[in-house]
Amino acid sequence: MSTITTWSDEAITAKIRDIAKTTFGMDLPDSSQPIKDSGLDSLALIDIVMGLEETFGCQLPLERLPANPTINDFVALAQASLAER
Amino acid sequence: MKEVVVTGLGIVSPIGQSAAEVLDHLLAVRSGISLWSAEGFTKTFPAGIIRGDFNDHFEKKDLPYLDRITKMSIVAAEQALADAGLPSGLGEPGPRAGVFAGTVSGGADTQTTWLHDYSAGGKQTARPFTLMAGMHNAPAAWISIRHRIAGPVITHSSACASSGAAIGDAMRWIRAGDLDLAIAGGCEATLNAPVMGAWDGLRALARPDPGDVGRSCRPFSRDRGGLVLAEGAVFLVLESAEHAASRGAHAYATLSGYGIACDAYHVGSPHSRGQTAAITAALRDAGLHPSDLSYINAHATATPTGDPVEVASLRDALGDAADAVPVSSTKAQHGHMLGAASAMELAVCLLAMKHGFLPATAFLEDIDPACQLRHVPMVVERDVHICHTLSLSAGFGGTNIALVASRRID
Repeated sequence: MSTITTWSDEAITAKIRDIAKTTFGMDLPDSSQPIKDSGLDSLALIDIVMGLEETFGCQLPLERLPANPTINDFVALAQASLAER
Repeated sequence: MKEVVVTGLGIVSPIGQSAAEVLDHLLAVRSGISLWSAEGFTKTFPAGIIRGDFNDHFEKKDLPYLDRITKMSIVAAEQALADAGLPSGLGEPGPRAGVFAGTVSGGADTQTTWLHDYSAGGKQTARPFTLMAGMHNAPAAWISIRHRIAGPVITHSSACASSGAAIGDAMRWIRAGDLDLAIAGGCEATLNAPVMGAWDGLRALARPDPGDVGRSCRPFSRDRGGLVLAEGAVFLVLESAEHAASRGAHAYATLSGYGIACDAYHVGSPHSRGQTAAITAALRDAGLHPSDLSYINAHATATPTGDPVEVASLRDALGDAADAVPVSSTKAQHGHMLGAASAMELAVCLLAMKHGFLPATAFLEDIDPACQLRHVPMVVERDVHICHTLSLSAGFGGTNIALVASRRID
């Protein structure tokens, strides 16, 4: 019997902040602010998505993100992708 | 035609991470060769290894983009600008400035890491920075971005002549009046297991000297055992003489001659005709006779077949002067820096000219009879007035470069 791990919004947010800190040494802004405001570029955002995909074991379709995403946008994308798993 | 001068040196090498450190090593004839090994790789080799990862020069957010070769290149270029008395960033964006870099393999660590992740780790998708960190033109691109250099930003790859071609190209742009200033040189960072194994496949690498690994590279010696790979980055600031004068900059020398010629013979074996042609072309470009040369820094990698071919080339090109012009190969100390080799050896020539000495060929106790020249064995010769100096580089594929630097007449 397989078990499906659920992730809270807070846990996903913490994971995103941890990846940004560990990989890029960056403290991300408030979760409702665009992540690029911190100085990270679009490739760094892809790297964060790849880190989340490894963590969750599922694909996160980047095309569903808005042009200038916030942490909250990433959390919503992750939750939607986890729900579709 | 504009006079081109060298106003800045930046060196990250196995014998020092500044021009001053390199000078100390050259004067003491101290080797920078140590023992290379890698986890999971059974063989060890002598190599010109540079300690440290250079991460403290950069913001952490930029590090995923920066292969080791790019980090070393940025550090060397910033040294060169500081030495030239130029501000980091060069002020306004500069279409009258360019970057010319040479490399054999580009971001080799990034490339091999991804290939390992794919083949051994089963990964299907690389990190998003992989292509841009691994590409050959990453060092030049990053130098241009950091210093807002908006003119030609060009990467040369002609094996071990790469940085010589880059410097020669930059020289021509400035001579023609199309640029005022260029950062030119080369870089290499390939001391990883797959690349070492590839070189070992050529049976061209020296084995560690059993008594002292630092003595493993012995150009022109009867008992030479092959080349010693090294890493590093060396960049020079080149300027038109009038641009340098307008800002009161000191010049090491005039870059007076550039010769490039191909063997058109074999992809991996040198032929003396190409080297001879490059030397002859550089001397003609500088308006010099062979006997005008005060010092030659030879390519001499210490391979059994390569060194005698180069000696034959020098004899062909120099004629009677071949018995009189001092020659040495400083690779015995810093190893073969591949894409940075030409730039490193031109920098050695410039330091020798500035400080009045002839660099030695370390460990040249027993000269191969097939390599007879006017050598500088073991010990530097001091109090020497160098007027004109030539550096020769020869690459796989047959491309040969000769660069001539001349003392400025004040």
